[in-house]
Amino acid sequence: MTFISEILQPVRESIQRYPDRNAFFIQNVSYTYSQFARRISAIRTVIRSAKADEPVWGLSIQDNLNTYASIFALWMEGKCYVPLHPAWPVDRIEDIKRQVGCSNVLDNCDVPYHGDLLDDWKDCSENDLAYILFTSGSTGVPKGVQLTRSNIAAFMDSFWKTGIRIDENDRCMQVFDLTFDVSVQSYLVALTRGACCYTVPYGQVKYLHAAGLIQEQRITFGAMAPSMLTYLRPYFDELDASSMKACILTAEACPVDLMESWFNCAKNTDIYDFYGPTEATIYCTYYKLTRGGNNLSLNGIISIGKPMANVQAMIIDDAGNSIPENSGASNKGELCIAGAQVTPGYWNNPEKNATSFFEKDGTIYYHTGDLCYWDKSGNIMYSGRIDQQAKIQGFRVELGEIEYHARNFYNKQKRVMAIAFQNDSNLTEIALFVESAQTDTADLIAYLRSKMPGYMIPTRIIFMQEFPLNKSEKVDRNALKQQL
Amino acid sequence: MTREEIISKLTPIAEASFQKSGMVLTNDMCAQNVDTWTSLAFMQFLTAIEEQFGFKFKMMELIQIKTMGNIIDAIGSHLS
Repeated sequence: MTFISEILQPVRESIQRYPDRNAFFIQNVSYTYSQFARRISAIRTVIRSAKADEPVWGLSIQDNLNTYASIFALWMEGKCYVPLHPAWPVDRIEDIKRQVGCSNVLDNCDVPYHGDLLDDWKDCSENDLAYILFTSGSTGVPKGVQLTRSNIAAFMDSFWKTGIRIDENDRCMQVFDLTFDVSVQSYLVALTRGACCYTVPYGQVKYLHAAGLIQEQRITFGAMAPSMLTYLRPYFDELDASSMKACILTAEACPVDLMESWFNCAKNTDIYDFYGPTEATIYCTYYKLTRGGNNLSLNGIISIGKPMANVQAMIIDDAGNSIPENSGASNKGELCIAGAQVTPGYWNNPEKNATSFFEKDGTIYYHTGDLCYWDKSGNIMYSGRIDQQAKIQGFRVELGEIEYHARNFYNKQKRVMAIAFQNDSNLTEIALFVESAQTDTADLIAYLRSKMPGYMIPTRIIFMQEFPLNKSEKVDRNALKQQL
Repeated sequence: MTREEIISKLTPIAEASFQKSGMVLTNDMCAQNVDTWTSLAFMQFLTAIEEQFGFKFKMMELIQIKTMGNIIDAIGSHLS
């Protein structure tokens, strides 16, 4: 189980076996595996000719063939990519580039093809990095999660052992930004099996574009965030999703009633709820739902199931002791993850690494921050977050990061509180409370937009003369939340 | 209802949904050039349009809608 055996070799086999089949369908244009291979070869020449031979390269993510080819060109050259979203604030992009020390950025690398360069992969260690994803950081600075080549190989091995089968006849959907790790699953599953990857463009209303692909392109497999289906739910009776044979719901808590409706719409689909933090490489547990069956749930949320093949899960109590499996709802604790998929740590961040990882009986575990318990059946039930983290359309958002920037806007002269809440449609939104008299919010919003991606911008701003306090004399988040 | 009347009625709905005051609706407005044109805001926009103009969008017409111009056209065709 190596990066070469699980990723590079299967993709090369797809290219060799199916040169004239479609590898991608991007913005209504199909690209064959042969065209994909030529772009990989062309971009490898650029990487080889770079003045600075750096291990980490920036990748300006765009919805085009060159962006996907750049990923494989970098991997074949033994490099690691850091996705940079053109819509992010410049400050954030520059901060990430500075953190990882990369001066090379591939940006729609449309260079001429000078011959085949698909073999001759650079010798690398399995411990070398494949990608670094930056997620929201509670201190105001995004933190880089490093994933190695062996992490991804272990993930792919785990994935195929779930029983999901994809072949060259499948049409797989890729709806996620390349800054988000489910995108890696979405393109790898297709390309390592000779299937076609149908992408959803940036700058679109994703759920509608995805619905269009499902219906018009007869998509057979795809991963989506439950919120996308929540948006589509009013139109389920019009949507023909009969072509879908397997569908993964991930990145957010998965409501059981939504899944029952989705089963009725996607009549031939197996539905899976996959769970996983970026730190454990895309997914680490899964639950296969039963059509018409009694699916395990807690407070209307589907179980996150059992660990994948290369994952060890442990739930610990406040004292750090492992809670026995099958011990039931009265024994909640923090879910911790170990195994071959777990990151070696955050990029250049020893303080965060010291608090996020721990060793027990010779094994390194990652603190997920998720409150869970072992159901009597041995499945894991998700019960909420331990810390102040929210998921917006699948993206991780540290509320502390929003508060950090809002406080800076007010020159640290006002107290602010970011609160995640469920709206009437059961979608997560963020409200920002400001301890102040009512003022115009345009400048505040503009400032936040200059510091954070759009999904992190609060949808409601509420001014209060004085924040409520709890018995510990701290701002009472629950009291604020009740006002929403 | 004329196109101008539709735009006049649509403008406050767009301002509320996209959280922008003083919007001047143009045909080329879309998710790529309106920074608050998110999935959530767009869903709220559609719901408000349906309530205000008294009809329901079909999913297939929504799939074709990419711009504000498309939305104005769609409202016009529902009202004609």
